[in-house]
Amino acid sequence: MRKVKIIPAATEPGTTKWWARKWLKVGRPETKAGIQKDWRPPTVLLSCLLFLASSPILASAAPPPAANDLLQAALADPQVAYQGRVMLTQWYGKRTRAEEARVFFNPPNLYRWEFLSPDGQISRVIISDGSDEFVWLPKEHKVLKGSAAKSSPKLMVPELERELLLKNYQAKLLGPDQVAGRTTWVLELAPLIPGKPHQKFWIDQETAVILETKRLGPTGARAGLSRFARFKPQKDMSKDLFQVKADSMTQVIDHGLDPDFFSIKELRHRTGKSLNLPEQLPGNFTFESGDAYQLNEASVRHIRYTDGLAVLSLFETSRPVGPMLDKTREFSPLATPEQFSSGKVLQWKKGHQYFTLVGDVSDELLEQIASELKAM
Amino acid sequence: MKEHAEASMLSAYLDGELMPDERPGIESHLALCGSCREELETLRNAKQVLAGAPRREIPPELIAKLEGRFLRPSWWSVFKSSLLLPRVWVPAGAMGLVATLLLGVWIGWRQFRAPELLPLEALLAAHSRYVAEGLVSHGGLATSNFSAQLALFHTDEEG
Repeated sequence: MRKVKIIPAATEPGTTKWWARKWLKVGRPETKAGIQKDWRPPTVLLSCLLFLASSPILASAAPPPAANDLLQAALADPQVAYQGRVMLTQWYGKRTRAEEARVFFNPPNLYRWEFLSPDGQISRVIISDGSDEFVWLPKEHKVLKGSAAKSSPKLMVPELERELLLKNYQAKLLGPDQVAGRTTWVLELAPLIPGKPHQKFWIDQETAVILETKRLGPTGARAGLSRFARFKPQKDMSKDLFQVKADSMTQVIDHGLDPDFFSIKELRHRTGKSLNLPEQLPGNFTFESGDAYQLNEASVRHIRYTDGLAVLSLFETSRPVGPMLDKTREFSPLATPEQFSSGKVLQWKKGHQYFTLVGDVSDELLEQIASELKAM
Repeated sequence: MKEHAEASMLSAYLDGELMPDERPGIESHLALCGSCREELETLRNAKQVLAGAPRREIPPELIAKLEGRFLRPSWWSVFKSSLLLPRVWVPAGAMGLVATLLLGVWIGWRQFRAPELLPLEALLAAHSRYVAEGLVSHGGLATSNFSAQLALFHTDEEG
């Protein structure tokens, strides 16, 4: 979709003059790209202005909100129902993966994502009824069931995670912008330690819904982009949208990857193995939780670290790990970081155990972290 | 005579079962003792009566029952005798050899085979699923990754 900016060249965004020109200009506002697509009559704009003025954070006529206040609003779950169409693009290594999805959301946590294949058919549907999440694969006649995201509290309390985020990233308000014909604030989270990702958010001024998320890798290259092409707040959504309506041939399977949140002590108790994990890792990553489960009759321990934004996963397995697409199917550890869609991967073996480290940080930082973990 | 020969000695004398050195003593006693001669005569008559009595056959059921009770070999004697039989030892030895060979092959196979790989995609899916729990919104990128990796894992499993 063509991105239409409404910033006149001669006016600084965010100034009173800019806001006055934006909202109070009589007639159809002209833009660099031509005529603004979402132009509305002044009466409608004034109504919106009055509505927004009632909100201290989102008042567009008032001075822009403080970056941390805006961040707080962005971290809260959306309070409005909406539907829309999202374009998702990810860059990893020399590969790119792009998808389009129809999205439906109803507060507090009912969601439905319909991912579309290039021919417009639904390839998979993710549905949350608030407690369970279903990954429905219509072509395979399978529904993979697990718990909904954020349906259980993590080990690290949100206040501590937020504190960690603010300790490791600087929140900056970059100004307003337009996404899907709606006015947004652009917020950047810039890392204070080199080797970590940047993230930018386009936050709808009216609803505080994040309409665009851009993730830049440690070198500044684009890593991920999620952008609403269409966005429409709704008064209410039919609850049927958040139920799986599969045919009788469809098989429902527990995918078994629901995260549990164990402390190091609990993990040690559950697996019966000694565990000497550091609480802190280079890059100011802090231990959040661990998990233990069986995968293809092999034991897996999943240990997670966070800096408030980026996540590191350390997997300890009793068998070697390799990509399924690698047809040689012989274990050859990724001794140097290799980029996958979920992050970079680094592997090593110690004793009879195999380790796989996944993280969205620079090669140097990932190797430094791996060195620390190998010494444990 | 005050002393008399024992009845068992007289019976043995009658049956010709006395030892050679016992016989003269009994005969000299019988020559002098009328009472013992009468006793000997009574025994002889009884023997003649019994020898002339009709005989009955033993029922075969009783013979079988008695044989079953007194002639059946004990389990220990059966076991001891079976140990010496080649028809037990040959197949048992062969089976033992085969079992030992199979055990050796299995141990060797476990030792030297390449362990089956766990799919990296399943671990990446677990990572993405955890990222979706993050404080900061991922804009659906983690959901996309998680579901795509899970789908790949389950599709490949089926294929």
